[in-house]
Amino acid sequence: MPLRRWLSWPLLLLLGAALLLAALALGSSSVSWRQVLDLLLGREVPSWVRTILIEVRLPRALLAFLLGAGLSSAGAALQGVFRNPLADPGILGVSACGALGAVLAIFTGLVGWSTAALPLLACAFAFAGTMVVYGLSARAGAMDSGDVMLAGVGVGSLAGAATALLLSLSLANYAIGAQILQWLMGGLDGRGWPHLRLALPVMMVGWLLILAHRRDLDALLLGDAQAIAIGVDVRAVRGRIILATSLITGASVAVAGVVGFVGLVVPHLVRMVLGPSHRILLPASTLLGGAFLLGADLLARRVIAPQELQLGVITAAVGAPIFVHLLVKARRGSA
Amino acid sequence: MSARGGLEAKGLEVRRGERTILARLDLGVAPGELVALLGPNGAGKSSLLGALAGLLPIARGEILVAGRSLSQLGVRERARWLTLVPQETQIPFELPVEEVVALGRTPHLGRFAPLGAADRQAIHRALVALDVLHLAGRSICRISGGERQRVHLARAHAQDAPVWLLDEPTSSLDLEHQLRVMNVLRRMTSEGRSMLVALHDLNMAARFADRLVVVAAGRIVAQGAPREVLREGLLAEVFRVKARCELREGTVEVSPIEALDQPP
Repeated sequence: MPLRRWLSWPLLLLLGAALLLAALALGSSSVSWRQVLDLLLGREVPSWVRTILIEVRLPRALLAFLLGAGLSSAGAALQGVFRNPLADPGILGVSACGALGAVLAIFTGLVGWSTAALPLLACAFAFAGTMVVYGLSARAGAMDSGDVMLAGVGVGSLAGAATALLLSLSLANYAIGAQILQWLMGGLDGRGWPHLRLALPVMMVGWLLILAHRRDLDALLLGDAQAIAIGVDVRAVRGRIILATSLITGASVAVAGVVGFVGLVVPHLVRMVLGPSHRILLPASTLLGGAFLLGADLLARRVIAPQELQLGVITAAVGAPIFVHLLVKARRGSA
Repeated sequence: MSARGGLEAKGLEVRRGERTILARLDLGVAPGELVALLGPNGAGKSSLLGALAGLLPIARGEILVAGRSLSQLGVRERARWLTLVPQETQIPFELPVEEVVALGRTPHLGRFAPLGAADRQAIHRALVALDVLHLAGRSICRISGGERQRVHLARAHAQDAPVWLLDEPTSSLDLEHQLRVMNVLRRMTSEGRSMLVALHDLNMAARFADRLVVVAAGRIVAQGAPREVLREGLLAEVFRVKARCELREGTVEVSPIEALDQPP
């Protein structure tokens, strides 16, 4: 294990760097690898190349990395809090709640009033959604994986229904309806520095909050009673982790819509190779998650170029089989 | 062992909604004493341990460890004085044994502090004391129930708290491992710890405990040395069984005969 651990850090960094380079070099206008290198080394490049790389591709790539890193850490933390390897912002309905908040911000016109309204409402709804899912599943006593999933599905579909309702109500008003539809499509097409500036601070706060609780998250794996016995304030830790994951999910939903399965797939892969200890799991999920979404966005851009695939299609294609695999494994474990 | 403890509960009362689960209970465990907590299902054994460990809120009364009141301590500081090993809980992730034991150091560590040399020593001592050193790298999900129980006790050992509360530590174990775990507890006690152990097996309790405390319906109905407590009358009254109690080689042996239909 220690050798694997030491090897995995440079490998993860290398993977991220390689994908970042690829994201800069590949795209609909033909920028050569050489020009990318020239720019990175501070040499002279044509101004249109500079504009494409700095104003279009770089922020989009960084944003993809940021969202992947954030959603993966949030997934890992939620799995710890719910003691359930199937937990993920998408599956627990947290993303759907965040989306409802965002759509509400557009629907009510709050967005026109302040740009911060959309991420703010997305975070607030994500938080409320997680609390409801947690309350429903904890009420049933021990947090059985079935209960958590059922609560998540229930809350998620309720939020989805409410979103659909708002959408159909807004269709009469073309401007708002189009805005909502466009936002609901999600993905990173057309996202740039302003989106990055909006998401980065919120996600950093959430990420740092999670990282500060890495040992408490390990303790929670042993169950509430043991966690309290070793001096972890279980209720407070749960509350803070739920807040942190809501910030991350809300910010990510606000800039790119619902991107599912990232928080499920990445921590799962990391656990298989490096074990479940959060001291390792969280930073490794951050790096792998960033690389994963960067790669997924690259595929979304290139597979049917010049058109774009939806980012969620790629992540679901990878994530859904892993989800089913985990579900089958959990069933067998409980039988 | 950093400090000698001794546990004392005074007038402890625990309620769940309207129901009183523990009523004005007084209980003490001295340093170097192993006290077995006995009683039928639903008597309040787990609630008592839970209340002492801070899992359940206390309606009235006071808990003292080494003379200081637990209510004045935060969760973290409390964990330096007293620890609980609950009944077997399922752990859904493949945490290595070594990391489980290392978690015992949590109350001694700052939020961002890594394990220091003293912590590593405490973890190593715990792994050796509970004979689980050879399992250190194995997953907690892939060892036997007896081994898992010893790992959780090793976690408590690494935690270095003078008072241990154990909820049926032998319930899922075969006879060999029951004896092994009880012997380990005896040894831990002889090093000066205070042990309060909920048990179902009366013979195990009679053989390994210094003192028995019998609870029924949230009250202590008997306590004292095993030979004083384990009498046929009490077994009929509290446990609703007809049984024979015989003195043999300095301990009491209880042979259950049949369940009683009606209260005597």
